[in-house]
Amino acid sequence: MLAVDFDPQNSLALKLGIVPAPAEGLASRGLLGGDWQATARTNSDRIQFLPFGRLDRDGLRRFEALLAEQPRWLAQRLGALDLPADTAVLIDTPRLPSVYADQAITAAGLQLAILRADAASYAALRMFGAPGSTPLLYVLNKVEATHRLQNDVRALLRQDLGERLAPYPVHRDESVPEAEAANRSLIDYAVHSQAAYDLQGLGSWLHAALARLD
Amino acid sequence: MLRPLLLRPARALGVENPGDPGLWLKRLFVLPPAESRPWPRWLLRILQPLIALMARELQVRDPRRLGDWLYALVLVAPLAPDAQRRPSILMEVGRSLLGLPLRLLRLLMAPLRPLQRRFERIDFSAAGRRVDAAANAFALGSPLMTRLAVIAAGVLLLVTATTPLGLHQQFMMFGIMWAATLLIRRLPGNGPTLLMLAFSLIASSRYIWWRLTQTLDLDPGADMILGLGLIAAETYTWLILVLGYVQNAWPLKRPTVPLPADTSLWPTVDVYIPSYNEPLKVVKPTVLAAMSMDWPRDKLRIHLLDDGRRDEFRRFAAQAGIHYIVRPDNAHAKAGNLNHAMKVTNGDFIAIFDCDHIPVRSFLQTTMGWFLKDPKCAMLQTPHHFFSPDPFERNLGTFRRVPNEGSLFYGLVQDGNDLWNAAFFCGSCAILRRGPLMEVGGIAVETVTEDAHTALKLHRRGYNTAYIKLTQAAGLATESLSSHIGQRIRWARGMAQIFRTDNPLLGRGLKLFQRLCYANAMLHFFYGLPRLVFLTAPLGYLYFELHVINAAATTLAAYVLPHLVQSSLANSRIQGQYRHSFWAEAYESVLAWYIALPTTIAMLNPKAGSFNVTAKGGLIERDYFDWSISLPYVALVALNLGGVALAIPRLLVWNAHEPATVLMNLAWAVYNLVMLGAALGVAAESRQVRVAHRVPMRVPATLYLPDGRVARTETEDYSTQGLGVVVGADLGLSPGVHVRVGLSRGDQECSFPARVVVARGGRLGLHFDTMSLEDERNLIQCTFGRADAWLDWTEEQQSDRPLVSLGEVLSFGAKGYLRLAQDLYTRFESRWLRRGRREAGIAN
Repeated sequence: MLAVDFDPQNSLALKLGIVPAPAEGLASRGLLGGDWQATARTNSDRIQFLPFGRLDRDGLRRFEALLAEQPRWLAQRLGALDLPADTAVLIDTPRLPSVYADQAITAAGLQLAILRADAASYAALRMFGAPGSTPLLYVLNKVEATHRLQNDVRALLRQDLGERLAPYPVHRDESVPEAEAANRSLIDYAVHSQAAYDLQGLGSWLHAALARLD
Repeated sequence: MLRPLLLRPARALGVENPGDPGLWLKRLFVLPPAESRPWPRWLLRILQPLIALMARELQVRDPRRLGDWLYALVLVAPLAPDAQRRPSILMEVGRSLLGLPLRLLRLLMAPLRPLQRRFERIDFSAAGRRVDAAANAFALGSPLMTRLAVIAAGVLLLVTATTPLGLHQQFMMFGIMWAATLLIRRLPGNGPTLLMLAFSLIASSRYIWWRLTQTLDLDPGADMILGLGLIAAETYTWLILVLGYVQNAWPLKRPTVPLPADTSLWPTVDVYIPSYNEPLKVVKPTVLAAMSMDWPRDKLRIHLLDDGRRDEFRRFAAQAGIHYIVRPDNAHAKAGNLNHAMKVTNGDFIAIFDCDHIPVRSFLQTTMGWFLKDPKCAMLQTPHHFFSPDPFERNLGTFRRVPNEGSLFYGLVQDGNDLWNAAFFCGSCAILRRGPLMEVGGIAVETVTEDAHTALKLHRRGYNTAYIKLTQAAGLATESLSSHIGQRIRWARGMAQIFRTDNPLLGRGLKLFQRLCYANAMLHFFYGLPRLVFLTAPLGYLYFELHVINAAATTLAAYVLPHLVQSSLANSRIQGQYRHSFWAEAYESVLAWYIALPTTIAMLNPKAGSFNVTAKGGLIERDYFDWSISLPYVALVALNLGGVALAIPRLLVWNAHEPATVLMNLAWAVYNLVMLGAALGVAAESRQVRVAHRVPMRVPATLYLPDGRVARTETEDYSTQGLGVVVGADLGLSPGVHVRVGLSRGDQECSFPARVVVARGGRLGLHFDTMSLEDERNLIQCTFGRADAWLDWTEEQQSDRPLVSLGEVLSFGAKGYLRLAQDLYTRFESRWLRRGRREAGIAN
């Protein structure tokens, strides 16, 4: 399992318990053609992690120009890694539309679109999945029971997306930020948390989807 | 003159007024407080800790009161409001005494154990299949062959039942049949069942033939009258046995038929929910669940038929968006109510739910297929299921462990009826086709069991009925024993009325087996008088030395034992899953007295008597012993006890020349006492704790805490008012905290506001806050209305093991007597001991 932070916010490290977020990473080193592979880390749950790194405004502008020029930049970098055959690579990107997300989509074998159970999300559905692009799955995030609309949105999405919508919506759960603040993994921090349960379900669902791809 | 003589003992005893003989009697038992001398200190030092220990162990309420000691020693330990029931010492002793014969039997059977184990290793399924194949060859072969086989079997049965045999031959025949049955019962399948039924038919028919031809004393006198009564009761039992075999030998097990994919072909359905005096909170879940059934919205109409004409109901119907129907009068009660609704509605089909029978969402989809497949099908019935314990289950503590009284009917009898196209309408959880129902003039109003009568009329017109054994609705069982008995009386009277006014054996339109099935359904309710005859039969001999059976005890044994053994083995085979051995006797013994009179009256004059509605949703607030109901049984117990007492001098002195006869009657009386004990146990009403009955359900639930955390939990049970959940970890919740709890139904998650009422050991008890109608509807959909709500209900039920079952009935008998004694004592205590103490207080 390799997690790749491909978001200039450079904050995925915190969610994996790597504090403070590393200054050097794939983008900061890669931009200058340096040894970005050396910035990879492994956390206590033995998840390998490749940070984004810190870039100033000027650096970001140059990096984005590079990405625009070379649509397969990320794909080539990841291809260069010497990973065991059964490694799943998870790439975190900023929300669409974004060059980072485009890079990730080009590199990936499977896309996961994260939706909110609201009307705006439903309206934004068409942004996903350019024709002929990689397979696309969907998951609902931050579901709240008090929102009466969520059941209707879910029903609509299910109707439109069928089996491509994950059976486990991820609940909005204060345990998630609490665990992050305590610098502990969610499972460890709150074993009975609904979000932890949802994420586990989502994980195995994605695993099955990946297995079907091969 | 006597006064000076009495003065000394009077002072010693503490009798203040020696002229009052009552006071003398009292002072023999109760010391005046002032006169009680202090105990020596050394004795107290030893005794006090001992007494304290004993008092604690025995749960003596007040160690200073003699009564409490007696109570704790002899009777069931008194209950603190929250304490677990604990058996008293006597109960333990009684149990071990009862266990003794069973243990002895087990010891005697020990040498057979290796043989049994050997048998268990053999796979009998191939043999079972072969027998089944042979049975099918006869049943499904050419009609001529089937007919010949039936005739041959009939002739053979006649010959075997009537051929006279010597005593030893009869015993040998029994031995062979019994051994064969023990082997056959290991073969799975319906064919072997038929073989067992055949053996039972032979044994029972031989018995009844022998009784009728050899043992009747036709010299006029008391012997003759009692003898004729007994033989009549026995013949009735035999008849019901035979009819029962016809009815139940081969349950149809009808599958569901899928509906066409095109919903435009689905017919329109009117749902009737009749109500008369039930509170809205009972009716509401039914209405909301009916509205949530999966069916095209424009083809499903819900009608609330309110014979109580209540404004509250009218408002609710308007709010929920359903039809509200009232009529000018209340003629013919429920039947009239339904018939009136038929006039103002026009759907192709009519689904009927009693106002407390909550349907699941799949009710229509699992049932309606048959109407589309079979255009002659006029009625389809599904089981009545109860999620609260009936009085038997509550008072005996057998809820969900032993099949209840109704499970035989809905588990086996209706399915057996269905084979012969004789399944009948039971008033609720059923669908009727409008056309045929109009043709027979709507729901029948001539009798108090309008449902069965309506089905009979449909059958007479050549329509078909169907039964699907799939629980698609559930409701509340009757609350108290008296209302339960009231309901059974109504059924019994109604069936007797139909038998008199529209006898299924006569009249046109019915097939032979339909006639037999209906006849059994009705005759079955006449068990009252025969059961009473059996409960008193040994008394004639024990009290007055009347020989009601004119035969030697050994000959009687040679005939009656095969009859009893074979029929109980056969019945255990066909109904074991739905009624455990010996429970029929227990159920019938309780109801016999109350059923006997109404059925007899209805037979004589079908018009006599009136309709009564059974009350539901009540609460029995404390333990009590229902004296008014059990009085006849207390009398029967006293009579049988007298008989047992008289058996001893008969055995030793008066009838020493015929010990076998005395012993047989003694055993009979003891068996009667056991069954009567169970009846008494049912009459001791146990306290009910909750108003809303909790239904076990294990599904995920999401708990939204006030601080924004969300916990994954699992439900344990639910009711219309609350939910029990297992949280597994400490969430730091204390009673009074408000949470939301989310339940899922497919892709939908519905959450409900609730308050924590209990938080203990990783379990939470939640009580729902006031909910909107929308919330209530969602709650019903997530709980009672789930398609799988009742699927695994019988999972925890034990299978029938006749000896275990006998042990259970025995122990319930013992408990019944203890409860009776306890109640007697409490009455005695409150009336005499308290008064004594009060008087003593005044004297001070």
